[in-house]
Amino acid sequence: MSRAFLPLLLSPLLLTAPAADAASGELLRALSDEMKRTVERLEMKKLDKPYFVSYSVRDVRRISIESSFGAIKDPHEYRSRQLKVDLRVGGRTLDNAHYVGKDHWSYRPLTGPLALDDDYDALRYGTWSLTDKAYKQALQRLAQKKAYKQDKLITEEIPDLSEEQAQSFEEPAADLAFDHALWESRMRKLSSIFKKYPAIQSSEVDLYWTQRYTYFVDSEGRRVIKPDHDFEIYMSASTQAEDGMRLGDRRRFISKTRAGIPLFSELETGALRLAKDLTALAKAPALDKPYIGPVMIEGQAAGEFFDQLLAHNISFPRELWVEQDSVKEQFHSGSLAGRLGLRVLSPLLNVVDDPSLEDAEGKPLIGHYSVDDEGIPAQKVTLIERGILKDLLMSRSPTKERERSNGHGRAAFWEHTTARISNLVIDADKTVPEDELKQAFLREAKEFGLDFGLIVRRIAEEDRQEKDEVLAAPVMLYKVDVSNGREELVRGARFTGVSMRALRDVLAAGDRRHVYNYYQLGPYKSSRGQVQASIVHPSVLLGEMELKKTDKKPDKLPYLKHPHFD
Amino acid sequence: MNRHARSLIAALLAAVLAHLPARLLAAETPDDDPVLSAMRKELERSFSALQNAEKTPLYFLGYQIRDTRSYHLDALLGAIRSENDRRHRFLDVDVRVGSRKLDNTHQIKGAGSWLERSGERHTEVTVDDDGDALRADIWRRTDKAFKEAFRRYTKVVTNKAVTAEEEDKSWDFSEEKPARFYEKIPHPEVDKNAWRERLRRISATFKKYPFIIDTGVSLSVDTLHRYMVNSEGAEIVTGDRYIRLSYRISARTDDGMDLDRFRSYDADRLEDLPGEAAIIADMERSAAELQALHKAPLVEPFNGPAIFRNRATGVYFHEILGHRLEGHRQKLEEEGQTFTKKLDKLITAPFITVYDDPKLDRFRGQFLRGAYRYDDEGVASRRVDLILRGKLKAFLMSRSPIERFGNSNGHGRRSAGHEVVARMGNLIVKSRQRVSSQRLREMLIEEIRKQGKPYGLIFEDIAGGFTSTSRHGTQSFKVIPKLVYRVYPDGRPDEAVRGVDIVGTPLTAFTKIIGAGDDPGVFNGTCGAESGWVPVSAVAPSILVSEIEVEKKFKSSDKPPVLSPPHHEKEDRP
Repeated sequence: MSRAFLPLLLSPLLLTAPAADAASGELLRALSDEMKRTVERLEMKKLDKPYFVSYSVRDVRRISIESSFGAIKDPHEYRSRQLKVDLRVGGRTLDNAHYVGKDHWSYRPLTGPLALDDDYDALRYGTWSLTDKAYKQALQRLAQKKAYKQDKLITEEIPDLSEEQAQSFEEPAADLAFDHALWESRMRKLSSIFKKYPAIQSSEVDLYWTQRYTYFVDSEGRRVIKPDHDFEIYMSASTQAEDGMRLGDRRRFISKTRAGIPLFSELETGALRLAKDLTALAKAPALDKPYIGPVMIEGQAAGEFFDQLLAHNISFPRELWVEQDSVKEQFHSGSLAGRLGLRVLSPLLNVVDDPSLEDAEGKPLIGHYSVDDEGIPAQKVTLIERGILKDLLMSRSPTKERERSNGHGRAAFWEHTTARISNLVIDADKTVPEDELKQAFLREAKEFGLDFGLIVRRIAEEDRQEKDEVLAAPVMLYKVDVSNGREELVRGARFTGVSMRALRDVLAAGDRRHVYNYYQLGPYKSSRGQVQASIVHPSVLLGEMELKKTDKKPDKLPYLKHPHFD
Repeated sequence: MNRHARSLIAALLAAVLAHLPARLLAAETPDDDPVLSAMRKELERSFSALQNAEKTPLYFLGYQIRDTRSYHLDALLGAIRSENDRRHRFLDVDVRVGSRKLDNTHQIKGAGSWLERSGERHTEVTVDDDGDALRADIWRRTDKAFKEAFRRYTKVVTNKAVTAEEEDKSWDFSEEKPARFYEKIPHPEVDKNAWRERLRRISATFKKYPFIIDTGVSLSVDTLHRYMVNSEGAEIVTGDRYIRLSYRISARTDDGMDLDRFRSYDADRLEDLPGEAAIIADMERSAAELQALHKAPLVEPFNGPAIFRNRATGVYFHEILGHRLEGHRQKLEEEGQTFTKKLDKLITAPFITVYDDPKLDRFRGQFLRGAYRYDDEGVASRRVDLILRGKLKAFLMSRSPIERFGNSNGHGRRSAGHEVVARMGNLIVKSRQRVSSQRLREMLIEEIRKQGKPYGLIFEDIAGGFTSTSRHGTQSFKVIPKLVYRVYPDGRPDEAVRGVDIVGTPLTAFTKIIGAGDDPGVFNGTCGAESGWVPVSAVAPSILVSEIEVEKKFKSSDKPPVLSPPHHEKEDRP
């Protein structure tokens, strides 16, 4: 099936034509009719009418196969159709959005199930019911928000909804085929790889196959139908070192198209690597003393480095008004937005975000899409040139600096839409071959007066950050002897004192472009979702970082041996 | 399709279902059952190695695996909304260190004691019959539970030393004869297509009512196998089936009160569910009741005579009496212990008898959800006479002994991840004096006149409620009536009313029973308490009470939807 992008204006006639897609026909008709009634007639006495409404429906078929030690756990298949309502009262300049009230835990869009059957009446009923709730909630939020604005003497006017051209899109259906029996046997095989590694206490290999179609309509006339699939193999394992320190790691293989699904041999290699890495970690010495000096960050570690420090701060530019100061930190906004025109990154580096890229270095990019979750066509944005911040990622939520969307509004289903990265491409003006990068690094370490330097090859994902961290702990960390380049694996270290400053401290970049496909975490603790994203990046050499031994206390070892190895 | 044709199809469907052959499982025996054998092996290995691994001995180790297969289908207004078919296995590990006299499960008293309740303790394990994988999961959970038990034991010993002596000095664990039992039952073959069609048809019944703002019709078919082994030699596998068809509708009044009607049909065989026509007739009645409630006047706080309809009586006894007769509550020092010292004393009308009998799986042909053969501590269930002729005679017992009751009577229950406590199974309320429904109503009117009240109440349906048995709370109860009628002594027709909850104190509530009907009815439900959610039943006749107190009920204050449901569009207000 061609993955061509077909902008087209859907006429009502086309919508009901079964040729397009019988299922979407009834659904879109129910959504549009209820939207029409909402905009025309939903009004409570003496109160505002909605000025903007959007409905997004996610129609999902999901299969999960979790496995451990060669056996299947919780096999599960389900279908669901969920509706999300974004309803605004007030006007573009001030509406009910971007405000977190005292009920901060409920800062999330209203969502609810719709009938799975393509039954017009039942679909409209579900839509009606959720719309009514959204309307009443919107009225109350707006009143609270106005009161907040007055109390806090806020005079600055940043609009809540940008004006954009309305276009409609339909991306052709492209089902993500799935061979259940084949994958079940593969999962058994993959998870039994760990049966040969006695050092590992627990392990898991899970598969999540999600065939997802999104239907979007809004009161400004947009209509979007697009596939939004996700195929993930997730591996995790954990063990303890002899001193009781807990060690764990996970590996993910994410794709969104059939072509992107990894070969079985790649998965086998992945599981083997995980098993071997953890076995080695369990025997490795702990980092015994604090380290200050140059650090080389390679491969996946550089991907996480750029995600947690750059992507996290260049995404989510719109600041929210948060009623309670004590929960402000739970509603993150990207702190780079206010630094337009300033140097935020090493002058060596240039950054663009390009949702239209389908692959890089022969690898599919999962951050690719054609139209964002607000129905706005995706655009390439040149973000950083020679370290200077030139532009921002924008959704339809304006900021002080930018008024219009550039097609980066996305969200997990239960999150409010915010601007975030798609394919973040980081390139260096001047690169060094990767093996020379290590030589440069050793020279730096020597200059620092050190006997050894540190190379990080894996960093834990963002959700494993400890409370005070902005960069999660290194998992695969190597001490390198400056005299001969010999490497030794060490465990139990964490970064300290890391800030965005580290981004400006990149001294050199390797010539290989690495592709990191991952799920970017959402900005709000009350509804943290994951969205597919990619980072294309080099390995980098940092001038100075600080690492020390973890503060986590070890746990007593198991009393008995693993029964399989006893 | 006309009504006649519909019921004919229903009849045919029922006939087809009745003749589906029950699939028999391959004849497994306890010896070649792979799950049981993995549990047994790991239990032997762990118990022998861990028994004396520390200074304080491990004296009991028990494993339980709950294997569930659940099919769930839900429809609204003629369309399927969700469908699920799942399989799970959950493992619970029970570890006891110390001795029967004092072990790690002993209560921790005083400030901060609530911090010492153990958290979730279960693990999801493989659904494959794979001994290696099962044993790996069991090993990990055992290690965790064993360490946790030691931590808690140390705290127990210190806590006992620094806090006041307990009133009830009973031991922590009773001695019971280990049982052996093996039973497997097949998961029913559900004709999914037929059921989807059936639920679509049934759920469309509610389409014609514009006041319904939410609705659903569900079918759930659950098969539960419990595997239990312990270091005393018990080895039990039991299978139970729970099938439920239910519907719910809700409406909201202009003053912001949410009202709903719910009905469920419970069975252990699909063919025992009522036919489509009967269900639709009930649905129509429920819709009429909801409509009446929707227009009904609010009741002001009131006290006076009332009738509890049979199923409502069952819920009332379950909530207010049953929970207070659970054995462990008689010795936990933070419990209200309402009835602890009332043994052999009259606590209710002398014509009332109450017992709990989990061995009963039918009452007059109706399936009882609260039935089970062995409890979650591997003890065979048995009937317990709780109240004989109004006098309190016994408590529901798990293996946690209390004064005068040193042994379990097979009522230790839990759902996955919780510690076992004493729970109800099938609570049966009987009356030696029985009158017809007509006579009971006459007695109510006589009582209204005698007390000079303007009216009395009939509680047709009670959804459940809250009963606080703890000393921290008020030890009173509140139950939530779902359908209440006002009965006038002057012959005016009964009137549906809304907006009240029943409140009271347990000791007085049960002394006010002055009559009972001859119409026992079955309530089937799921009961939640500290040991999780367990299926229960209550069987009771209608009763007449001389005095009941009702107070105003909480309401959400949300207005009903602004627009009419889309398919009733024409009726929109201009």
